[in-house]
Amino acid sequence: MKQMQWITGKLLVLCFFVSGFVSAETSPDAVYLLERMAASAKSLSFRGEFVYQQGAQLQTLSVIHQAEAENISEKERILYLDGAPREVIRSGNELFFSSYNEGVTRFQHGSLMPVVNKFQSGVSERFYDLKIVGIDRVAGREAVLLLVLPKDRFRYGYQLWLDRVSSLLLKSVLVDDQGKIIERLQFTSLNVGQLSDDVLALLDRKPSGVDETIQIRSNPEHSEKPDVPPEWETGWLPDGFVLENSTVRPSPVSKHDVDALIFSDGIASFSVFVEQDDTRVLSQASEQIGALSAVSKIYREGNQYFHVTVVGDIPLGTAERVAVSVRPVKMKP
Amino acid sequence: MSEKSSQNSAREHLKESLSVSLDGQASELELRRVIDSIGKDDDLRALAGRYQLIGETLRGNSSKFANVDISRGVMNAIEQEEADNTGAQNVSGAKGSSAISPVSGRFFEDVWASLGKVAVAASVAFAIVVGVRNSNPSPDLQVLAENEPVTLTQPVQLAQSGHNDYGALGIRAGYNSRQHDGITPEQLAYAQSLADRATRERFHAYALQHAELSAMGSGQSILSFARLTSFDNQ
Repeated sequence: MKQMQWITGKLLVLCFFVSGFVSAETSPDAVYLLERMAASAKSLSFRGEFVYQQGAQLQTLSVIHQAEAENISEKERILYLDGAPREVIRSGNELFFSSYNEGVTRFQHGSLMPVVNKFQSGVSERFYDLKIVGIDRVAGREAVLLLVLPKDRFRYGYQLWLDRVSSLLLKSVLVDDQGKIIERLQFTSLNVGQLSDDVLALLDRKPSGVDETIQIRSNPEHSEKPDVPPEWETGWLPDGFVLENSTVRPSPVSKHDVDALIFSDGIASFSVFVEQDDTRVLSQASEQIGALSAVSKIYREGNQYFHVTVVGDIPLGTAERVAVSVRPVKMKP
Repeated sequence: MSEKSSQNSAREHLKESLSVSLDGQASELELRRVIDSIGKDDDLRALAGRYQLIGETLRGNSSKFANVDISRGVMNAIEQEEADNTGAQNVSGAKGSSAISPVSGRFFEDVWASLGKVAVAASVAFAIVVGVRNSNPSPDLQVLAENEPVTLTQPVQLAQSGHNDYGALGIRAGYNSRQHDGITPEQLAYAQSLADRATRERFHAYALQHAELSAMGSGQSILSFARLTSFDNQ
């Protein structure tokens, strides 16, 4: 068993090694494929079921996606099929997350919607090698296997299986710098195309009661004067990560507002949350669960204490380095 | 003939254990066997060095210390320390002389054979010998030094004593140690468990916020929300 693990590990590393040298250049096809995948996820209607594996856990989820049409906004419903019933409904500028245990949370965006370049090209080619390495079959569909290999240790690598016809994501494997698999997502069935009326009706079934509404505002300074940066900034970012969006929202854990900044390098993304702390039970902690790393640090300014929390699909070391570098903008020397 | 082939196969096995150890996948037994041998076997040590170099290159970070063999120094240090301890126990006052006196090979074997100590010492020594841990150095301190402007405002370093031991379970409560005067360990433990829970809740809540943030703009909500299940099941 141990030996098998070792062999698989070595093979994977070897696979990376070989592919890293055989075709060192990112092919234009691969870039195009990644762009098409991001576009298809928005512009196509589809429904399907997929499994998500992380560590010893395996979860089944289902998704219904309605593309944006002339008079309909983009809609999506993700249903967790295992364990406590939970679902996500995304519709226009609203997003509902309902959980059997914790009630319904509604996220409501103002006029400015965040645009996050996740799984899109652009900067990503400078920090990842993108390679098409083969043809496979996933969920009964022909798939193109695309490797997304990071060029440094600040980010994870992906193996992506994209539908040959639609470029939709069929399977995704996240790999760390040791070649160890961190998470897997894989469709077991996928139907692309016009949704039937009864399926569409499911998308309109919004939760009846809302327990908590989170009104998301663009950072006030940010929206009025676009060139004024947010109140908080990071002193260090891994190369390639850029600020995609900055908002203010009520904190989910206290009565204060929290500044939320999201950064992306085109593939991975992480958020930095800063909120005033008045619990006086300060803590610093870090946790890694599957693909998500979470780090919390304390920043002190005079008598005021702030919680800095970094969450994202980046290695824990990267998240920690970002977290300790967060500082108020005005402190810039 | 057969003896030779069995020796060869034992050797192959040892190499394999070495490789597994470098991957951090070895059982304690395997690790101990490798440690036991690596001290006496120059070939094996050289091989470990090469494996490490290959690993580093594959990971894209060749270390400037990669060629420095410090295993001998570590062995000596451990040997010395064991001698110190035993010397102090057996002959009071002889500590100074035992520290510099040469330690016999037999004694060395005995020390290596004692299980509990070896397990600890071995993992420490091995980590240093092959540098398995240097791939992801704990960044806080050096980063603080690099990035923080020299002002009165500094992040509060609560866990200064052991910057490696935080984690959801290693949380310090309270602003500074003065507050803990007159607090019983039970109260402290209770405060820590509260802080643990608060942190966990915050991570959970922020994981949802992050999923929302990254889903709204990108359209790639499947992965973002699937990841929440990991936090849910804690």
